[in-house]
Amino acid sequence: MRERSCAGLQKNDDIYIELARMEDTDEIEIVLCSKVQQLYGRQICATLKEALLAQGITGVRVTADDRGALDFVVRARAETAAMRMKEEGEKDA
Amino acid sequence: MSKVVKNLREAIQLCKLEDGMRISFHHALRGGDLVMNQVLAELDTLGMRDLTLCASAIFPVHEPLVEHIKSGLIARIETDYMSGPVAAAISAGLLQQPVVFQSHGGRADRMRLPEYQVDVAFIAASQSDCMGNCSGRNGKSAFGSMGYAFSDAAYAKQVVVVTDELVEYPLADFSIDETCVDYVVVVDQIGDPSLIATGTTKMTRDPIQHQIARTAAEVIEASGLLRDGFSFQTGAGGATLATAQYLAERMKKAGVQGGCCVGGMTGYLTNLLEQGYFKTLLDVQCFDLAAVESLRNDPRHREITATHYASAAAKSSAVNQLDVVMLGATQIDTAFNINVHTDSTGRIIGGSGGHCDAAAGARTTIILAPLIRHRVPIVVDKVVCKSTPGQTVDIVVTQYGIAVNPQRQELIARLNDAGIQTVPIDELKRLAVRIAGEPDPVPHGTQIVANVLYRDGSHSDQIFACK
Repeated sequence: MRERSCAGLQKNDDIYIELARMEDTDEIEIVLCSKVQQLYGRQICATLKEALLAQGITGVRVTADDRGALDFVVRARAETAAMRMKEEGEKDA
Repeated sequence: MSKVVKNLREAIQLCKLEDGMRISFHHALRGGDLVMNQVLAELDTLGMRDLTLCASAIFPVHEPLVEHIKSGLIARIETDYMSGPVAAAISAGLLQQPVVFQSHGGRADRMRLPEYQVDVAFIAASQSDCMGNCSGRNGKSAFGSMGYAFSDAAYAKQVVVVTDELVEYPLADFSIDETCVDYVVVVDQIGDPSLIATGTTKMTRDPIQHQIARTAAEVIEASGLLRDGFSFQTGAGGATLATAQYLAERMKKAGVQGGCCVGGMTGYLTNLLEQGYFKTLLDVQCFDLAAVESLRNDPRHREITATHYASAAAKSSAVNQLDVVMLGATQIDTAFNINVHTDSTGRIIGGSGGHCDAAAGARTTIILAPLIRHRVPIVVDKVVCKSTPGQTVDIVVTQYGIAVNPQRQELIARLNDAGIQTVPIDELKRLAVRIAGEPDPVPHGTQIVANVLYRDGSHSDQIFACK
């Protein structure tokens, strides 16, 4: 397990996600900044959490910069970040 | 004799400008305007309070206005459009009195009414002579058409021309003439014309917008509108400007020469004039410097007043001659009502400009918009703000389909005959939600921050403060 990973781009219609491992907790803590915060912020957080749990990821802080990504994009970026975190290796992905 | 006074302060004092009065500005310099800021700073120095600001549009460059609202210098605002920090401050509830939003035609008509008469109009001009014959066509800060300033000049009690290039009397090529001008002030700079083409007036590079534009051109041809002499208006933003290019290709193929283009002008439209696609441009404002140059040099490119452009009260106006207008939207609802004042959360980001005027006047009004913009559905059940009523809107073109107002059955039949599929607008709305997800409702505050007037002065909608 790596300490941190990331996925996505800071571009319109995409979401950039960073995962960082937290000590002594199983929580998923999400810090979301979204240009559609009021309209979709709640749903984005739910999707992020769901996608990470499905990958068996807990005990992380998620920092996400959303520029209006559709739900499947949010899900795909979260899965990718999760998989990168689970990869073996010295360096952070 | 000369009407030239020493500076803005002297002009303000000679006009006997007092607390509570109405002052006006036009927005031909758009994002490059420096006149409103200079005048307001001077009024502030003089300790004025409680003024009504009648500005045809307010841009990010007018950020100092936020402080003038806080200080009480400006207590009421009437405008056709606002964006940037001032719009954000208004949406946050900074101004106690609701902003009055008008259309371009509505503003010109309202100014004639005694109860809304402007006390002092400050008119930016890139050239003026000592008696106030002035224009925007020449000079170091040339901005082109003075379209929106004519009503201010004609109806304000007193008129101050503010210029940065004083020329010998008479300025032969004047737009506004001396008969209505009281004072002339020479300042260092009225603005930066290189900043005129900011905001909504640039050609898009977004492939979705180009797809929408291509579809719109196809729809116009299939509607039977491409006939010799047809007249046309395009908005400045997004896909509307691109449509002009695709339309020209179809006109060439069909061997059709258009009559005139109306409204705000760009280099794209002046090219079409030069290449013979259209015979005349009726220009209420120049959106870029190519348009300024064309207005200066080409007699087929005419400056028109806001009244001539878009008035509902005049005996006639140019929008009534339009065969087709293409306009944008921040929201479209299933009753074809259009929002161009706020974003989907109710924040003010624009205004009607000539949107509702052109939609009402044109035989066919086409709205171009993506179905979804950065996840936000554009086609919705109900617009946050009704800027343009649905009964004046005929066709909505998105990248996912074309919807025609059910009031226009003959148009639907004509498009179907030409092999163009249309869909009910409810279907576009459902599709948008299927792709983007149902957005959470956004609660708004209780304070009304703006009242939106329709072009005839009647109430159209209200905008609430954002939470």
